[in-house]
Amino acid sequence: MTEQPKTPSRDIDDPDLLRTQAREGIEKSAAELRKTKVPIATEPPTVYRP
Amino acid sequence: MVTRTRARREAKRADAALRRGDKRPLLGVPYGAKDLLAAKGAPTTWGAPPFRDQTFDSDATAIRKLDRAGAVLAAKLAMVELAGGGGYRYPSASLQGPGLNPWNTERWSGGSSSGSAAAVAGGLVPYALGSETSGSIGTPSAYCGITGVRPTYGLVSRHGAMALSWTLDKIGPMARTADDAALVLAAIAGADPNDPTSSGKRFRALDPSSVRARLPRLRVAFAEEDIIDHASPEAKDALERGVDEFRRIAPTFVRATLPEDLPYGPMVGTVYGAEGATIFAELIEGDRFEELIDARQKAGLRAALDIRARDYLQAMRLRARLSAAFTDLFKEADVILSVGRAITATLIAQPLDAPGVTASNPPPSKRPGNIGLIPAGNLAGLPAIFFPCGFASDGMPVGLQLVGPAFSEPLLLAIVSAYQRETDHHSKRPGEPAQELEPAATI
Repeated sequence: MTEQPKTPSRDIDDPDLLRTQAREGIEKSAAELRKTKVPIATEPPTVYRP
Repeated sequence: MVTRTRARREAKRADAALRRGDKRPLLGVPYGAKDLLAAKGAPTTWGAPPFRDQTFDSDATAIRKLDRAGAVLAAKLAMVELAGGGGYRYPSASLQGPGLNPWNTERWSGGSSSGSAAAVAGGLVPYALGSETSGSIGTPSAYCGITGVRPTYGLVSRHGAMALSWTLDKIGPMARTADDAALVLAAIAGADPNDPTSSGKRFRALDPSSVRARLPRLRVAFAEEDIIDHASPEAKDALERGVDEFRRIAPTFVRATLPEDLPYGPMVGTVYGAEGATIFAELIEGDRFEELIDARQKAGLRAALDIRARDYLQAMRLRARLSAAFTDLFKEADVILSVGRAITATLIAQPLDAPGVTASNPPPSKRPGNIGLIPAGNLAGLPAIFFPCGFASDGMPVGLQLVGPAFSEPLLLAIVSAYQRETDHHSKRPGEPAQELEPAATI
């Protein structure tokens, strides 16, 4: 039986990792939002009030 | 931070008024305010090192209204830096350090209104002002075993409060009881020409007897999976007992749940992410940004500057759909009952993005029920009251939340007042002999 190489662990607070995770989080949220369809034919007018 | 000079001045004024026979209910009663509310004579740090020396020469409207009611501002209370809008990893993300839970100081008091909840639960002040963008009154209220009210968007002026999200922020009372919270809400609610989002509506408490007569017919939406599928093993029994007690005062339970196809976590995160990053853009791109404490929060704020207009607007479109869904739900039910938080207060050193800590995005393997009620209720601008319902097996408080249609605060507070007349969870204090703490569990 061969010994499996250990995956090098990374500090969860590493700034580079955090930056990557934050960007990925935003993209993941965007994908979720875009997945949810809004029927434009019945969508009410925008909410801007002068 | 104790506002000694101001508190003494206001207390003397209250003493004089009391001698004259003034009977206003909040006259002379001390309180604390979350440190995102401007108050003359004290720093307003927003919990963040870059603003440690910030002062304002005027009071936030909510503080000014309490001043008019004769209340005594005794303290500015600790909070998560910038109300945590970047998504923080640790409870220590605060200029004042992590909020310690009076029930067990190895646990967090919750955030971002950390000090407001801890001060009330610890008996330092009878009530405090907190704020909620998505969960910042609810979570600390649940973790600390107090009664917190998230008002309808626009009921309480936000003038003089740090803005994290123009379309989500709310200011509300955190107290020991619903009756106390009602007194505070009556004082701070109402029109404010300085806040264009102010609704102009006031809060008036309902006559308790009229509510008692209505309780048997009150339709309470409840989804059992909120507890069965989502509650931690420590919290489950106490939450179930709390629901059973609630059912004794309002027995007409109906099944009604939030739409399952709306991504509540991404919706609320995108809205406050985009709005918060815009509000703090100058800070984020400036020299003092690195002074913020929490590395994850810094990464989150920076990344949120790049949220696309398309995605922000899509989240806002889905908010409109969510509001319509709530309107339909409230045809079948008068109020929605759910857990305040499905878990008990986390350990101070525990990362908040550990699995099981957030309930905004339940795992797909679990029935969602109404577990997304905190982000959903905030997105729709609906009022909620969080109230204690007992203690978990780890000795920490647990609580429930009740959500109603916009401006239904009188009903929500009256219902919880009735619950609190039949129970004594709200009267428990940290350190009482009956409170036996077991060793804190790791999650």
